[in-house]
Parts: sequence; structure tokens; C-alpha cells
Amino acid sequence: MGLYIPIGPYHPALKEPITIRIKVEGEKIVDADIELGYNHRGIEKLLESKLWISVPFIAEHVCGICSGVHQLTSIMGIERIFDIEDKIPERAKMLRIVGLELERIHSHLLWLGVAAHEAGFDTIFMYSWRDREKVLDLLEIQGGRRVVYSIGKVGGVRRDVDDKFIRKAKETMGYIRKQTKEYMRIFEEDPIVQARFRNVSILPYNVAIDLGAVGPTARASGVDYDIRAEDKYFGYSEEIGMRVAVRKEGDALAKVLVRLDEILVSADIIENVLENLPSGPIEIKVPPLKTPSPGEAFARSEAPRGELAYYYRSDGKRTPYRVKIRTPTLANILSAGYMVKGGYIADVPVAFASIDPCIACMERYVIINDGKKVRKIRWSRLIHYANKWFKENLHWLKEERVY
Amino acid sequence: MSGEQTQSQSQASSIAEWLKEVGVEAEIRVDKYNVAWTEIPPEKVKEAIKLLKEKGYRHLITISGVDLPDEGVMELIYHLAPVKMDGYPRLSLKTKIPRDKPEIDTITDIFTIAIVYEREVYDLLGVKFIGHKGLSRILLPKDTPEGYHPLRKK
Amino acid sequence: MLKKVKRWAFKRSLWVFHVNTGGCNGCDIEIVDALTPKYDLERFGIKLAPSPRHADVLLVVGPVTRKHAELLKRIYEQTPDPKFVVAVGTCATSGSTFEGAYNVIGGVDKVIPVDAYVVGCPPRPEAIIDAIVALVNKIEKGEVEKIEKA
Repeated sequence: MGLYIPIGPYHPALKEPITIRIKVEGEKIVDADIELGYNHRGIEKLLESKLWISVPFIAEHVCGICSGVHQLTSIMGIERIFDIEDKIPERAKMLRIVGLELERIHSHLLWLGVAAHEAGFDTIFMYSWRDREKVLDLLEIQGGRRVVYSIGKVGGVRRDVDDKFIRKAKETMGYIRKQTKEYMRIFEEDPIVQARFRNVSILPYNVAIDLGAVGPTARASGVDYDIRAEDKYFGYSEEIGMRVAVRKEGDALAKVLVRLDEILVSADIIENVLENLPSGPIEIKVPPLKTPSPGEAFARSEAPRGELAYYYRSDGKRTPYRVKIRTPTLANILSAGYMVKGGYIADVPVAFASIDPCIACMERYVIINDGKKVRKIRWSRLIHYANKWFKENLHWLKEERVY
Repeated sequence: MSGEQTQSQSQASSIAEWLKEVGVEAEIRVDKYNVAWTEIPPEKVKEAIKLLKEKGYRHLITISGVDLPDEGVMELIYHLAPVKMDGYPRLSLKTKIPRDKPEIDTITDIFTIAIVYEREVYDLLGVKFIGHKGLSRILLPKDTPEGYHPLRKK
Repeated sequence: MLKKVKRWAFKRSLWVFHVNTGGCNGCDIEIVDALTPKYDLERFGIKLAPSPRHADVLLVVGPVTRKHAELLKRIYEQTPDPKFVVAVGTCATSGSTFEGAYNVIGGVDKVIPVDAYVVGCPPRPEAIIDAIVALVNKIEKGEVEKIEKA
């Protein structure tokens, strides 16, 4: 009994659907049938055969959307293993923050577009991805490329920024702020948008804590926890504008608003940091990073989707003995299963998208078992059905959800 | 700097005191990045984690498994984080289990999210979590041959 | 005469189906980006197909994980002739940094025949559009056997 949500592709010729099936005893989740095999590449094992210095280059390809935070978190761990973290220059740390916050903005705008598209609001998709291009322009200047921008290196950052970049960044942040406030207005005021997102797929506070939810998914349920504020890595602090975006409703609308709020926070941080950028070198001369002393290190950060953790073990050799990576989507997967349970079938696309799942956008199947019968429906069909259903039932849905 | 050292030392002793409550004498080492490391026997892990959660370590970040064939053991590390406990370190709770019979009690009744993390350790290292209500592969395809656990060292 | 009509009909609206075989999503977002106003693939008459049965071109991304290999073969078989496979990204071309990882086959051409490779990690939307347009031009010039012989 429960709702089956596939998170991988499914082909009619295969017998087994790939699903998240939540097994419940009463109201308690006791098992989740999940298979993630489609996207599993075997990275942790691969890293055991790569030199320490190569690890960040592979880490940044774990995820193309949040490659920056993967690279910089892997670097944080390596700098701890080699015991050079306290030597990183201030300017480098601040430039890392700029890169990470630009990434957060681009990732949230990307998500906004995809979530809006899946709910049938293609205009928002086009606008948000157009706005995102301006942020990618900045990332391209800072890192050299628009996707997988590779901003960091062990010991600092790869490239410096000049006044031209700072001026352009300030201008872009002004624009992004204006656009984001407009998106917030649409989501807070437009009744059609509200009918799709408000009171949909609520994740209560206690459940969010119990299921270990992280990131905006948890913060939208009132969980006041953000690694940037907890660990203050790289120099995050209230002084540079860091504040935790929290909402308490726990519904899909709250998740949208938390992310939009985070874009505003990121814009503040970027402006503050660039206004007061410390002078100095952008890297330290690291000794050839061949063999660290045996030991272990733990590093975590706040990726756009939530907490990202890296654990390293060294046995004194030129390659890591063990690397463990825990991505935020894995921590949110049970919450996703919880949120799609109950509610209307037409709410499933928004419910699942609201955790901002970092899985390839591919064809998926949903199997709905409502206790009476089992139906199978293709994801794109489901979206089409959902959008049509909403148009037809908008009149009473607005009453139920908005007023 | 020394102020922080004393603070982290006093927190380390609080953690040591709590572990004493479940009958464990453990040494807690806090590194310069505010991560505490300690090792306890496997049969005490479940009790210790239950108590630590009650004391405020309410966030299970993940469970890492490390294969140590030279020592004949597998090491499990439970990475915990405190919630709203000013300045308390993240805690990496380690334990060693025999490599030829890698088993330990599940903690899914304490942290529901462990359902996912324990399955990952089972899939890639072959550790059995006793009491887990659905221990099966999660990353590798379901038809992977029995006994194939790629993160084991040769 | 018939050949020219065939070529023209084929070129007028190309349906592409996007397949991810375990990639990091980097190439995916650049492909989607190609559809957004800044790059606008649709002005070339190129549209995203809803299923392989409607596709002319398969845009394949990712280093091909083991579980994806059988799926990819089936999607290829489901796509009607004449069809083209474009391997987008370095992973799809050769497996990139993941070559040698235990769950990765490494390169789309190890599973299905590939007609064009767009290298890059990820390739820019311009490069992706460039590849598709080049393919379309080749079709127009009659340089593509599959169409001539069909």
C-alpha cells in the first residue's frame, strides 16, 4: 500500500518499474523501495584510484547543476586532510562565496523554471531561464565556463576578478532582485498559481525532522537549519548578509518562496562581499600534494538542494583510501515519498518537483495504487493530465486552497 | 584560540559523560574543524545513538563504511550533527565490526532516514543491519550477483 | 525529384528525443537551454519529441551506466528509420572521467551506432545547435546515405 513514484526511466519492455514505494505501518514509514541504479556511476570507488589532486576535477562532474559546491566541498575536505585550511587567504575565501552564491541563484532559477513548466506555466519557465543566463554570464567570467565553471582549486581559487566584473555583478544583482520580487508577487498573489502550489504536498515540521530532510525542503517546514549559518565555512556570517530563509507552512508554495527568498539573500551576500573584497593573493603556494599523513576529514556545505557531505580517509598514500559523498537529494528522498502520498494525483508532479530532485530529466512512470486499483501512467502524460485537470477544476480548487 | 579550545574540551567531556551513561568509556578527540571523533564497541552503538539524539544530536548526516582488510574489520562511522546546541561539534561515531561477519543492529527505529543510508552500506560493502525491515540493494541493479560489494578492498 | 522532396520534408521539421544514460545533468541543461529564447532551437524547425516513436534524432547524453545500456538499445530500436544518433558531451563520446568506473560502460557508441559527436563538458548550446544544423545541411545536400537509400 502506498504511492509508487519512479525516479528513473522506465521502459514498457522491462518488467520491473523503478519506483519509490513507501511501505507504511500505520502512519510510520518503515521501508522505502528505491532503486537509484540508473544514475549510479561508481564514483566513490573510482576516486580510490585517482591522485588526491585529481579528486576535485571529478567531484565537479558529480552534478552539472551544482558542480561548484561539489568541487569546493571536496576541496574543503582535501584542505583538511592536508592540514592547510587555516592558510587559505581571505580574498580566496570570499571569491569562493561569490561563486557559490552565484551558483545558488542559477540553480534556484533553473528549478523555478522546471517546476513552473511541469505545472503548465511555461512563461515563468522562459523568463526564469532568461534571467538565469545573466547569472551564467557572471559565472563564465569568474570561472571561465558557464556550466562546470571550476572556480576553486586546492589552496584558493583559480582566477581573480576585476572592477569590471564587480560592476557587472552589482548590476546583475539589481536586476535579479527585481525579477525575483516579481516572481514572489506572482506566487503570492496569482490565484491560478496558488491553486497549484498552496496547501499541496505539506511536509509537517515533525516529519521533516524525523525523515532527515535538508535544505529548502526542510526550511519550508520551519526547520531553521542552514549549514552556512551552522558551520560558517569559508567565512559565511551575518556580517556579509547571510540569513536563513524559513517558512512554516511546509507546502509546495512555501518551498518556492524559501528558494526565492534565498535568491535575495544570495544577491545581498554577493554585493556585500564584492563591496568589501579583501586584497591579497587568491591562493597559497601549496606544496606538491602528493601524500598526506594518515588520517581522516569530514567536510559539509549547503548546496542549493541542501546539505552536502564529504568524508575522506587517508592511509598516507597518493590516492585516497576512501571517499564518501552524501548528496542532498538522497537525504530528501523519504520526504519526497511522504509528500506525494495522499492528495490528488494531479498534485504529484508539483509535490515531487518541490524537493528539487537532482536526477536526470528523463522519461519516468508513476504507478498509482490508491487501495482500490493500480494504474500506470507516463510522467509526461501525468503532467498533461494534471494541467488539464487543473484547468477544469480551477473554480472549486481556488475556493478550497486559496480563499 | 585557547578560549575555543577550552570550550570544545568541555563539550568533549559532556559527550564523554553521556557515553558513560550507556556504559561506554570513550576518548573524544575534537579536531580543529570542530568535528569530534570517537570509537565505541558495536554492541553499544544503538544505545549511544539513542541517547545522543535525546541530548540534541538530532541530525544523522550519513553512515560511512570503510573496509579495513589489514585489520580484519570493517569500520562504520555514524556522522551526527547537533541541532541548536551552540558550538557543539559534529560527531563522527566510529565502530569496528569483524570483516568475516559484518553485522550490526539497525538504527532505523531511531533515525528513519537510516533506512536509506544503511541500505547504501549494505549494497556497496555487504554489511548486514539486523532489524532493518527492507535491507536490499539501493544503488546497484537488483539483479547484481549476491556477494558483489564493489567498495570492498581486494 | 522524389529524393529532393524527401530531403526537404526531413529537413523542415526535425524531432529530437533526449536520452540521459546516467550523466551529471550538465549536458541536459545546455540542451534545454538551446530551447530557451537566447538560443532558440525552434527557429530551425527543431522540436523536442514526446517519445522515441516520433523522433528523427536521438540526443544521447551521459557515460552509459550498465542499467541504462539495455534501455538505450531498446529506445534505439523503438525509434523509426531513418534515424540519427548524436552523442552530446564528452561522457557520451568516451565516458570522460568516468571511464573505468565499475558501473559505467563508457561512450554511447559502445552500445548503439553514433552519427555525430559533440564534445564538451558540457558543450555550449551553440555547439549543440551547430551539430544539429550541420546534420540537417548534410541531409539537404544529399550527403546522408540513410535518407538517399530510404
